[in-house]
Amino acid sequence: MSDLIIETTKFVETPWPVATFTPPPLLMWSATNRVVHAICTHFFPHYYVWCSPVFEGEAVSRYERGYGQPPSSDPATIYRSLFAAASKGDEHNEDVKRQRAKLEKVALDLLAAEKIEATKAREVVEYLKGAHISEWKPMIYAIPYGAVHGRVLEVPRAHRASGRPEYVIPDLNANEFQPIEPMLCS
Amino acid sequence: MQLETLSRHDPKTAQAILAVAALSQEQVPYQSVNAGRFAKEAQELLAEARQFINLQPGDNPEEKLREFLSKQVISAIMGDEDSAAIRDRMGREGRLPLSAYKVNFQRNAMKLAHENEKYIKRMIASASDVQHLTADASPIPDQKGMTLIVVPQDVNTAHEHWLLIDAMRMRDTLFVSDAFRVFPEAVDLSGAKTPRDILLALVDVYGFDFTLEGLPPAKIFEQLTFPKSERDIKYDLGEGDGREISVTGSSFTLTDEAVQRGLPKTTSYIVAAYSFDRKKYLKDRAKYSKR
Repeated sequence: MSDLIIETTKFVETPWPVATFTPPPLLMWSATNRVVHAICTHFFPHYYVWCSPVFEGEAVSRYERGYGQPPSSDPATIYRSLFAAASKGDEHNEDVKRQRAKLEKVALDLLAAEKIEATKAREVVEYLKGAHISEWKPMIYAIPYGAVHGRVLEVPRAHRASGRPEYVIPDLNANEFQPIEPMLCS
Repeated sequence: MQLETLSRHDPKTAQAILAVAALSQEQVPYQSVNAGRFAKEAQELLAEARQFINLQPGDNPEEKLREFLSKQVISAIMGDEDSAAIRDRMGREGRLPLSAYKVNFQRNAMKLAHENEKYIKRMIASASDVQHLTADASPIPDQKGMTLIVVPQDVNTAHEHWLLIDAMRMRDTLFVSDAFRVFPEAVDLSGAKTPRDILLALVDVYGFDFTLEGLPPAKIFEQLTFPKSERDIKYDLGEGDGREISVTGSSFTLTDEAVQRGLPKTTSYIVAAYSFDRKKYLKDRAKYSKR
């Protein structure tokens, strides 16, 4: 039955272009969670973050930057979704399952490139195995744009969820952002 | 399972090919650090992997392929390494997620603290903050550590406070030794940023000066090393009802070879020793809980 497989292979071969903003934003926002944060802090050399200059697309006027950004790249929407999964103890949450598997793949990628040691990669696997859904509490990174100017990459259309722009910082350092855990308001 | 495509390459290259192939199947793309190097080999690997997927009616082929690759990735990372040994090491060093630790209680600890074991266990599962402390000077890996856990209580009510749980950590198990209700009206938490800061603020209010091995009196001692067994350390608590001290640390007997080199036969490494006036605390606990 393997001929039924629809190929969705997305090799990321060429470097993504550096994003430019006019006017430059004060902050870039990224929604993540405690598990990803802990793994990047303790095991990986950098924080790899998807981010947006707008925290919540629905909260800005239709003429402003960020209006209508897709839910999958809207920090506020991602935050709410993960908050619900973590507080309800939804062990089968698809996002969490996907992120868990992805972090293992990233660990292998870094191991193969000798960016982390074998011990660290194994610890990533054990950490993920032990992290109950309650550990996946969401967090927000507030990233002052001045510190990452020139390192924010624009995701090419083929890799985006919609026609709206999306951004990645592949090599964020611990001293370049403020992690915050806001209470959910709505 | 050794995939034929990977067996043609050295282990490092095989890891890179597998990582590139596995990451290429992610719905949210990731810029692999090996990007652009092994695309052709990764395609071959994906074609081979598809042969191994036993699709059943109703299966999602992409999901099945991702699952298959995930298993290969874990196996490539773990090799023959013993999972339990890794967990033990991470547990000792305080690097496991809190939910991965087993939770036990020191005998009578919760009775003294006026808390319920089931409730404390549930609170640990919903902790907002955790801090793992170890004896920094200890060269011995199998040592006891201290884990402090903080959980907000009665949020947005007149009784709002923090629950601070103190546990002794051994490998991947926590032995809860105490639990305190920290009311902001009684304890100044304005400078507290970590669970340890909360403990320091708590001890500042409910602790008392005591001496330990002739050191100048203090309410808390941290990171101490003594050339004797933990049992032989001398404390002077002064006088008064309800006075207690809590000590977390380990002592070790060194090998004869080490002793011949002039090292003491037994050495103790103390993470923290703090004093606590439980009578005073329980009075406040009752007062602020009733408001």
